[in-house]
This record gives sequence, C-alpha cells and structure tokens, in this order.
Amino acid sequence: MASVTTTTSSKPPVQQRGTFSKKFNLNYFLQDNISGSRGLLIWVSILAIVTVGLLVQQFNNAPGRTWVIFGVWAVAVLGTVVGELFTLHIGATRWLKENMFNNVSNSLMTLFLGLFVAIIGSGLWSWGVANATFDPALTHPDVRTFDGASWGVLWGARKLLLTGLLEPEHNGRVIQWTLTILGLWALSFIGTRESTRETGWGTWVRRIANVGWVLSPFISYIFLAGLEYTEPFIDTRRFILGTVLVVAVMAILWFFKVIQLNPMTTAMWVLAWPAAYLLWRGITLVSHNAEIFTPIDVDRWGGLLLTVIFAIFVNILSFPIGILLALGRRADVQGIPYWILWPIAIALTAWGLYTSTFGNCIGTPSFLCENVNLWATSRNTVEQIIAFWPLLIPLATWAFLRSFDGNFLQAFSVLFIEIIRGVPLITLLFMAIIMAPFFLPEDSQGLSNFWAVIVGYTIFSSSYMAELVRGGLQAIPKGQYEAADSLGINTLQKYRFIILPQALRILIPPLAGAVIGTFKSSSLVALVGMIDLVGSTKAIIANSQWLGLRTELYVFMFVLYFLVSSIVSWYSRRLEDQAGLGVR
Amino acid sequence: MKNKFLLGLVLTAIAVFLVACGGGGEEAVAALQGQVSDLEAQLDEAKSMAADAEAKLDEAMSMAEEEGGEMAATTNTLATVQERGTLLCGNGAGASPGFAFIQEDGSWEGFNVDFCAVYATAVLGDPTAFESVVTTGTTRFPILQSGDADVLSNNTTWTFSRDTALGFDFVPTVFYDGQGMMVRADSGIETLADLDGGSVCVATGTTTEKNLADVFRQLDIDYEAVVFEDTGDTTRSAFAEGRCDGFTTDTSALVGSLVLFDDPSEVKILPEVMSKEPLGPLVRHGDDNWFDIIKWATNCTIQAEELGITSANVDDMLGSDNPVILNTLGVEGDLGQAIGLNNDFCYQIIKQVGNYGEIFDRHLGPSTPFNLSRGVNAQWVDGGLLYSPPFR
Amino acid sequence: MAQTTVNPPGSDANIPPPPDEQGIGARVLSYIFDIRFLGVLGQIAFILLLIVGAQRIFSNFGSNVDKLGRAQFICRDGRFAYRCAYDFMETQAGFDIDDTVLDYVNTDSFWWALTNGIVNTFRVGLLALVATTFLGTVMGVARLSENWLVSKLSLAYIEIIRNTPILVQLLLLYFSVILALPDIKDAIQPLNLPIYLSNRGLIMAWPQFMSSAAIWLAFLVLGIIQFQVMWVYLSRREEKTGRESNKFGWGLAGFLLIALIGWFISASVSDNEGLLIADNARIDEVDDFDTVMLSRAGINHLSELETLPEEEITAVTLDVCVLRESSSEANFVNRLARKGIPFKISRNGSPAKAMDNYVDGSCEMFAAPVSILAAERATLENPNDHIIVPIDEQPLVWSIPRFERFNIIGGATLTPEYFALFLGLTIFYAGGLAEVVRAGILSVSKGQTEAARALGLSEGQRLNLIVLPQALRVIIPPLISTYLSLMKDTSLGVAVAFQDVYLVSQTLMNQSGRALQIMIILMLVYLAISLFFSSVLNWYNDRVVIVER
Repeated sequence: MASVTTTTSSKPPVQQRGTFSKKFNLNYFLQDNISGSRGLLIWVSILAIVTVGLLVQQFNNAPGRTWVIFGVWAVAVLGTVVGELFTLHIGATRWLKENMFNNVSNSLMTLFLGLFVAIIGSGLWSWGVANATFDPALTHPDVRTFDGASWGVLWGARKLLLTGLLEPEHNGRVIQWTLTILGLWALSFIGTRESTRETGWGTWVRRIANVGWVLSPFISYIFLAGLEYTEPFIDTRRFILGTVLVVAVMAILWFFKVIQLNPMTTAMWVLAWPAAYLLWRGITLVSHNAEIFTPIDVDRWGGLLLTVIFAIFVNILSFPIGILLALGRRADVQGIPYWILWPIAIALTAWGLYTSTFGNCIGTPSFLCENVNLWATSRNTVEQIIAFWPLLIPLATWAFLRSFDGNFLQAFSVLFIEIIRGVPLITLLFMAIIMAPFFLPEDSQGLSNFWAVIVGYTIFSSSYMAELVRGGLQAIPKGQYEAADSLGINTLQKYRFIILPQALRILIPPLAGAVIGTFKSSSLVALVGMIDLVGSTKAIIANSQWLGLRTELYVFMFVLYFLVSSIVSWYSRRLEDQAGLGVR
Repeated sequence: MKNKFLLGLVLTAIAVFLVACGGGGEEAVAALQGQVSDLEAQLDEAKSMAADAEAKLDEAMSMAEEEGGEMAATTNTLATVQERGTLLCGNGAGASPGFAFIQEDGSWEGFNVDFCAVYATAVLGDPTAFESVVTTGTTRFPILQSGDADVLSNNTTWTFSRDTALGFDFVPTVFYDGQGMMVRADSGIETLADLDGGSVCVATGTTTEKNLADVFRQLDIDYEAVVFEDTGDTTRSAFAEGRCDGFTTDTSALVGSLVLFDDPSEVKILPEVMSKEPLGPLVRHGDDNWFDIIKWATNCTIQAEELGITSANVDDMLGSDNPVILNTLGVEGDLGQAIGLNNDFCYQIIKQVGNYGEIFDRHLGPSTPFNLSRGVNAQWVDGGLLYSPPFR
Repeated sequence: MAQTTVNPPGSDANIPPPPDEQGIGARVLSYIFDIRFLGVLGQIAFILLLIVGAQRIFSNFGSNVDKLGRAQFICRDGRFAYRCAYDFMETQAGFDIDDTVLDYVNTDSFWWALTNGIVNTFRVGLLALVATTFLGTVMGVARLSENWLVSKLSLAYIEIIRNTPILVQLLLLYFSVILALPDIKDAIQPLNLPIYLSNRGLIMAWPQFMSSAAIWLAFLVLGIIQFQVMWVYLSRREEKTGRESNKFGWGLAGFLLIALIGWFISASVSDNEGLLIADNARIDEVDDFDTVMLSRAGINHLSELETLPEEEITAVTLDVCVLRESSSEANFVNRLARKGIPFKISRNGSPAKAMDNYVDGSCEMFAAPVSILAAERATLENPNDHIIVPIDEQPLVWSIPRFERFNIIGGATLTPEYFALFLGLTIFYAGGLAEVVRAGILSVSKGQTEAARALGLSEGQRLNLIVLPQALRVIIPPLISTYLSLMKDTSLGVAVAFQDVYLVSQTLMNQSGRALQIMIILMLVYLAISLFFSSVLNWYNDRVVIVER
C-alpha cells in the first residue's frame, strides 16, 4: 500500500509548472492503486463498498452534514489530483497529497474516517452540549431533559464527588491543603524553568520548594488527618527508641562509608529525632489547645480526595519497598550453605512426618494440632496423601538450593514479587479488608478500611515498582558494576553513589507510568465498598434528585482521570528533559 | 578492627531493640506454653489410663480449643466502645433510600441509621456518637466478625445458618419483610409463574438470590438470573434499563426504590411474597452482655411505642403512676445496671431518638415518599408482630 | 556452591591475609567479619525474623479464628476439626449461574459452581486475548500509517484509553452503551439476518450438534487423514515426475467429498430423535404434518395460511412440548419452520413435567430423543394409543433464534455482561498493545527493509522473514505481561455482573459465610492461571525469539 500515485524515476525530468504531467500513466496508476495484487484489489473493493454504503446511509440520515464532509473531501481530492497532474502543487495540496490522498485506498479511508468522526462527534455534541442542561436545578427526573446530559449534577453533587463523607466543617482544611500543594508545585515549576534555573533567586525558590516537598507528608497529615493530643507530652520510650534508631542508621551508613562524619554532622544526626519529635509534639499541643487541627476520622475521606490520597500514599510507600525488593532480587550475597540447610530440613521433615502420620500433637501449638495430626483422622485417599506433606520440605530445600544457591534474600524477593503479581489487585484489596483484622492481635482496635486498603494496595504496588526498578538496574551497563567493584568500594557505596543515581534517572518515564497506573487503579477500591471518586457515584445516583445520572458522572470521571494522567505524564517528560536523559 | 567491633555493638543494639519491641508477645507465649503443658499433662494421664487413648485425646484437644474460645468470648465490647467513645455501626453501601442512605452533604440517614443512634444513645448517651461503616453484601459478615463493626444494622435477614454457623446473634427483628418481585406494568405478568422464559435481576450476597432459585425451581420455570454484585442501585438500574423482566429483593426495598423510577407507574410489584425476611440488627456471638444491650435497646423502642411513650411526652411519663412505664424508663428498678448501662438508658433513647413508631414514620411512613404502611410491623396489640418482652 | 563464588561482588576489601601470619584470635575475627559470613548470618536472622512474624500472625489468627464461628469447622461426624474447613464446598450451591457452558443447575455443589466460574473466566479471557492481539496490531500499524487522519485517530485512541481507568471504561461501556441499546422487543437486526442486538445481548443463529454428529466427526477426521495422505502422495509424485499439481485443491476436494458422504450417512443411519403423539392424530411421519395442517385449517396450500385471520391461525397452531435447551428442540423447530407450519413451543425442565403437559392436553406432542420417549410412553395409561414418530436428523442443525414471550430463545447468546467485559478488556489492552507493536515495528531499522528489497524478496517474504522475527523480539516480552494482566483483570467482571470466578466466589462467600477458605481458593486459582500462562508464553518466547547478539 506504500505505492504512490506517481512512480518515481531516478531523475525526474524538469517540467514546466502547469503542464500536464508527463509521468502519469493510467496503466501504472491502476496497477499501483487497485489491481496490483489480489490482496490490494480485495482491500480496495471492500473499502469502497463500505465507504459508499456509509455515505449513502449518511446522506439519508444527516444530509446537510454529509454534504459538507463529502464536498470538502471532493474538493480536496480534486485539488490534489489537479496539483499532481498539472504540477501545480502549492503547500496545502502537497501536504494533502502526502498525508491524506497519496493513493486510492488512503483517499477512501480519509472519507470513511471523516464520516465516522462526524457521526461520533455529532452524537457526543448533541448529547453533551446541544441538548444538555447545565443548571443544577434541572436534574430532578421531573424537570430533566432526557435527550441530553444534565451536567448540573456535577455542581449539585460536588460535595460528594470531591470529599465524599467528610464532615462539611472540614472542607476549609481540604481547600487549604490543596492550595498548599499546588503552591509547592508552582514553586518548583518556576524554580526549574530554563530562564530561572541559573539565577540566584531561582535557586532559592527551588530550595524552598524542596524543603516544602520533604515536609509535605507531614503538612498533608496535619491538614487532612489532624492532630490528636495524648498524654504524656513526651513519651520517653518513643523518644529514646527513635533516637537510638536514627543513631543506629547513622552508624551503619558511616561504617559502610556512605556518609562522612564530623562533629557538626554527628550532632545533626543525633539531635534529628529529638528535635523533630519535640517540634511535632509542640505543634500538637498548640493545635490541641487552640482546636485548630482537630482529628478527622480517615474513614470519612471520600470522593476525589480519597482517590488522590490513595495515589500519593501508595506511591510514596511502595517506592522504597520496591527498591528494597529489587535490590533483594538482584542481591548476589553468599547463600546459606547446604551443610546448614540439609540437616535442618531433614530434622523438620522427620518431625513433621512423625506428628502428621504416626504421632500426635505434642509440642505443637494447639490451633495447628488438628491440622498436623492428619493420618489418624484421614477420611479418604486424598487426605492420606496430604498427611505426607512434610515430604515437600526436602523438595523445597532442593529447589531453593538449586534455583537460588541458598540465597534467601533473592528467593524471598522473587517469591514475594511473583506471587503478588500473580493475583488480581481486587483480591488483595478484598483480602486486606476482610482478612487483615484476623491477623492482628486479638485485643487490637481493628483496622479501619482505609488503612487495610492502603496496606493491600501498597503490597501490590511495591511488587510492580520492584520490577520497574529491576529493569532500571539492568539497564545500567555491566561495565559500571565492574568499574565500581574494581574501585574496591563496598556494595552500599556502589549502589548509593554509582548505580542508583543512574538507574533513577532512567526510571523517570516508567515511574511516571507506575504513578499514573496507581492513580488509575485506585478506582478499584470502589469495588470493595470505599466511597472514592467512582464509589461516590453509587450514593449520588441513588439520590432522587440525581437519579440515574450515571453517564454524566462516568464521563466526568473519564475526563478527570484523563486530564490528571496526561498532566502527570507531561510533567514526567519535562523532568526527563531536565534530568538530561539520554545525554551522557 | 575497631570498626568491626562497633558494627557488632550496633547490631547488638538493634537486636535488643527488636526484642524490646517484640516483648509484648511474651505473655501470650507464656500463656500458650502453660496451655501446652496443661495439655501434655492431660495427655500423659490419658495415656497412662490407656483405656481409650484416642477419645481422651480428642476430648483434651477440644477442651483446649474451648478454653481458647472462651478467651475470645470474654472480649468486652461494651468497654471497648466506651473507651473508644464511638460505636461502629455497619450500614451497607449507603444506597438504599429510607433505610440507609448518604445525603448530599455526606451524612447518613434512614431507618437503619436511626437504630445505630438508638444503640449509641444506650451505650454512650449521645445519639450522634456512632460511625457508619460502609459494608457491601460480601464484606458485611467478615467486617462484623473481625470487629471492624460492633453491630450490623444493615437489613440482614435472620437465618438459621447465619445465627449458628457464622457465629452471630440476631437481636429482635425490627422490620418484618418478605421477598417480592417487581415487573413492568405493561408486561402482562400477573403472577410469578408468568415470568416463565424471562430474566430476573437480583443482587448477590443476599438470601434473595437463593430464594429466587428455590422458588423458581419449585415452579419449574425457565428463567435467567442476572446477578449483580451490589446491593446498591446497580440491580435496580439494570432492571430499569430493560435488562430484565423482573427485579426481586425485599418488598420494602422494592417499595423504597419506587421513588427512584422516572415514572413509578411504569412498574408494579407482584402480590406474591416469595419468602419470609425478618430483618434485624446482629452482633458477634460470644459477648452475651453486648448482645443483651443491643437486644434491650431495640426492645426499648418497641415497648415505648406500646406504652405510648414518645419523645414529646417522655418527660411527663417520668411522673406516671404506671409501674410498667416507670420500670421501662428506669425510674424504678436497676434494669440498666444489670447490663452495665445507666438505668435511664431507655429514657435517653426515647428522649433523643424516639420510639419505634417515630423512627418508622420519620423514614418510611406516610409523610415520606415511600408511604409504607405498618402492616405486620405494627404492635402486637394492633395485630402486628412487634412484641417486646416486659421490662421487669 | 558456597565455595564456587570466587569473587563475590560486594565483598569488602577484607581478604584475610595468609593464616600463619596471624594469631588465632585475629584469625577467628577475620572469619567472623568476612562479608560472606555476615551475609549468611544476616539471612538466617532474616529467616528467623520472618518465622517469628509468621508465628505471631498465626497465633493471632488462632485466637481470632473463633470469631469466624466455630461451626465452620465442624465435621460431618460432629467433631470439631480445622481439617473440615472445606467440607461445605460439597454442599448444594443453591444459586444460579446463568451464563455457563458446562451443565450447571442450582442443586449442584459449590465446587461445581466454582468450576463454572473458572471456565467463564477462561471463556472471556481467552477470547479477549485473541481480540486484543488483533485490535492492538491494527492500531499499532495504523499509528504508523502514512494517512494523517488514520495515524492521528489511532493516537487519540491510544492516549485516551491508556490514560483512563479500565473500571470507568467498563462501567461506561456497560451502563451507558450496552444497556442503552434497544429493548429486546425492538432488537436491531442487521440485514434481516438471524442476528439480534439488544440490551439483552447479542443473539445469533448457531449450529447445534445433534447426537449423530459423532459419526460425522469421525468422517471429518477421516477427511483430514485423507488430506495428509493426498498431500504426501502428490508431493512425491511431483518430485518424481516434475509435474506440478494443485495439492491443496485436490486435498480439499477429497476432504469435502468425504465430509459430504459422511453427512448423508450419519443423517440416514441415526434414528435418535422422535415425537410422541397420539395414534389417532393420523401422523406417521413428519411429512404428514402438511396434510393434517391443511385439513385442520381447511385450505389447499400452506401459503394460504397468511391470509387467514389471526384467531384461526392460533386455533390450528401445533402445541409442542420439548425439553429445555435440548437438541431436539432446535431440530424439530427448524423442521416446522421450514415447512411454514405455525407452532407453539412449551419448554419443560424435565421429561416428567413434559409428560404431565402431554397428558393433560396442553401440548399435542412431545419431541425428544427416542430413548426418553420410549421410557415415558411406558408410563402412560394406554401406551398403545400413542406412537413414536421418528424424526430424521442431520449432524448439525441451525439453532435459529425466535421470539418467545419475554426473551429470544435459541441460537447462541453473548450476554451483555460477557459482551461488556470482553469489549472492555479488548479495548483497554489493545491501547497498550498498540504502543508495543509500534515500538516493535520501529525497532527494525529501515536498512533491514531496504536490504530485503535489494535481495529481491517479495513483500510477504520481507515481512515474514526479516521484519517480523526482529520485531517479535521486542514485542513478545511486553506482550506476555499484557496477556497476564488481561487474564487477571477478568476479575473486573464483578463490576458488570459477569459471573467469572471472582463473582462466583463472592457469591459462595455470602451463601456459605466462609470468607477465608474461599479467598484462599480464589488466590490459588489466580496464581495457577498466572503461572500457567507465564510458563506457556515464556516457553513460546524462548522458542520463537531469535537470540540477541
């Protein structure tokens, strides 16, 4: 189909503008466009029949519109043909010739698609605009127009769409939070523009924005969840444990030469937790006394707010877990030697066989007892076979040693990632909502649906992140790893200073894809009963005021998701440019 | 070398830290070990007796299990709720008008929601001190079982297997219902048997789905069941769009959904009742005191209506000379204290929420678009099924 | 294995010096602080941590499990055991699954209901895979089209589809497009073909196998063998004599001949289908219906029926009892419809029920397999007053959709739910696949195409031998993950009420209350599907993809 109307000879004869083309030959034309091969002939005939059929049908249904389309098409074809045959091409006809009418089948295709777009477009136009109403007062079934959309529902139900079940008195805080985040975004946008990047104030803007982004999780928490004050003001246990933990991290990093220590930085590390803790408690106390940030129940978040929170939360949580899993999957640490594993495996097998077939429950936790004592209680052959399950232990040990060389880190990461990727997100969400409470201690206060879903979703998302990061790590040329090794630096240094900086740069586009994916899939939480953007439809259309205005809401969500996703992917491309991807 | 000692120290510190964090489990482990050693002792005894070792073993095991069961049962829901300060009340998906419904400003309203208010008043003295937990047909039972909700006020049908195998306790029925069938008025369907060859929309996760299969199997009717996952509006809209010839659910819900049709006269509800559907709140099995509280808070609303106590005249009634009324309102006797509540819990319920009749009228009665008649949901003195045991 | 690692990356610069130069304490220390030793130690610590965590979770679960209700674990013999947690799966399901291919009635067990769900998952998933591959390829190629409009439209498609959630697409498709199709009474019927599109789905005529099809299928197998033999024989002859022959044409002709012979043989030897009718009805074979109908209506020719008033047609209409969804129904209905005889079908769930109708006269005849009829005739009061008229059958009959009271009966139905899920999955994943295909085609450098042309390869050869193998190398790995995601996303059928394994297990969970057990089964089912697909596809990938330099 790549043939063009004119066969190009190696040296086209110079021709006067406006004279009949000397190259044109009807035989060649027919051969190139219609009768060249059997396939081409069939294709062009089918296309012609379908197009003419559609044209005729459209002349009957919507004559005015069809005449316009057909007329424009005919004029364009005529112009192209004249321009081609008489060598009279101007810019427009040349573009038309190259892009729309370069052969017969493409010309037909253009007409067909033109008609097709007109049908779809006019249908959407008459439903969504021409026959639609926009007044929120006109959404009740008694006064509604049934020919077109009643967009008034979007304004009328804005509360449910935006914040769901959130108490109306907290709306102000949500708006303030939104403005803060948008402001931060604007700051970093301005700070990273070409024109401002090199200037002094641009650097400052960027610094402020960066600090803001680091603090943004806390800011968001304060605005959206509020602060609950509990006695005592300083919980000694948390205070000390936090400090110890930070110092331990510092020591490890220092030991592996990832950070350098001097008295100044040491003091910073040691004081980091106490300072942050005191600051946090101080804010809490002030807010408690002034009743500024009263606590909000997370289960009341809903609508777009919930969707956004899900996307942000899950992405932030799953990224570090994903990196860890990816590193674990690639870790080539020394495996556990077989002479440690086999004795343990054999001992376990023997004990298992004893308890499950010939033995009893001695030494077994009571809730497992019936499970273990299988042979004595088996009812049929299948259960008798199941009684020999401990034989799987040596099998698993053998597989573990063979596939992973005893490397448990790798085995764990691989199994975790593959199992989670093997089940649908919705089963994980469901499992999290209904089963998670059973795995918590008996006296705990249960887990709110929100946190349960966050946990399930993060587990799912992090295994996908892990695969992305692994791809990024693999994309780093082997030479980089080898060069790092030859420098004699340790693994932590290698990843921190050489591999990850390069990998993360490569990862920007796929990560943006993952962020969009998480945002999009967060709509699935509606299926497990959360009132997120999609879930709020249920409550809205059951209201007699907006009864059955499903399509309007779905279209609105469709457009909203599309816009947000497009903006994120546009922003990622911008980041990509700035990171100098592909520029080495 | 110094570095390595330091690393060792750090690792030790982390280990100590982890152990400290995990310290909470020690008691549980100790308890478990105690149980295990008990079990072993019993087993040894059983073996030494050697008469019927296996039977004894089973007995010992089941005893150990029952101990575990009682441990679970002693969880005190009342204390938990009072400590938390709010009652968690499972309320469905928020899309059944009249019963549990999310309003434009995000708040809940409806008959079932008001019963949540009744329980919150009884336990915490504040009719707003409850939180509606969103449940779907599939998640409601696990959510109650796991303690994510303290009580389910969700139009759940009281059945044998739910009461027993699923481990729930049903408090007195607050709404006696039956399964009905809605069809289009112009379809020419007069009885269920006329639906032969048709399609029926039904929500999954309900007794309705099973009843439909049972009833139609009995009638030997050829039909197509279109099953929707949601008890919300999905099923009804599919029917409204013409996907099915019939739409079946509880009659009250059918009546309630009439207001959701563009033109309610286009549809009609067949006179046949396909099943009994006693709908009432339910709690987890095992916490008897909590069960009593929910049961008697429910009975309170019914008893008050029978006695003619309303939220308007309840203060006057305090001075009544009828001992039954005085007992009910807690002026006399210590009925409330017996279940760990204030004696005036019933007074508070009536005062702040209202009696059964008021709750019914507020959400389903003649002043609402649903205009449901009391029917079998009238007091027993009026020929209905509502019958509260005496407060005595 | 431990010893084989010569130079573990990540080893610190801590290679122990030769042992004899150190004291014993330093030697021990140098071993202890060897990164390899620490690595193993760390892993063992990690394992122990996991075991402790798992133990706590299990013990929590053990103490929480009573909340699920102890009765869940009671065995048939009344004892209490966790082993009996799955016993409930053998009890009667009690709910309906309408859209099934296996035989399912609501008295079957939970296991069987679940199996039907799994089959449904595959049914929608596999078809969507094929359609996605097709649509994705078309869109990917269209994206590279030289036609501006084509390329921009497919770009718009790809961008819009990829940037919106599949759930919203599905909901829009189901509620706003498919359910907005005309009611079944006004079903769209393109070109008067027996194809009906309405909000009850797509219903079309469909060939139905009769019992005699077994014989015919044997003939078809014979035909295929013949084809092979013919092919081999002609190839040999070609080699020997050098005379070219149309191998495919001859093979096909032989195949068709055998199929045709088989058709007539199987149609004539089979006498499975029959009609139970009163002896005095004066009908001994199917052709007698014409005469009986003529005499009943008092006309000379069947075409005159149209001129009669409606009441009279109703009066002469034949009332026929059949068994629901039986092949006899399609066979007999076809026969009557072809003759133009007015009939009314009453569909019955069981032979006994049909016989009740037959006895009380609400239907004049009962069409079913002869074996059933013979057994049922024996139960009549006077078996000799009734005869069984044989009805000839062909191996395949068209089951043609016809309007009954509420629905269209017969033919094959794609339910709206199936249709929505299938279309939704296809549209969504084709968007992603289009990008993959485009990247694959672009990855083959232009020089390859030019080189192929220079070699004088034909377009087809160029595509098959040069472009495709190289493009596939890029296409197949992301294609595999697309397929896997698609199979998993069939679980979204829950949003459009398609009874795949997910929705069926939701129902199971409700009817039985055993959430944990069913979630475990469900997870295992999906894992098995994923593993199965990834192993098959990876095997294919290893086989097909050319080795990279």
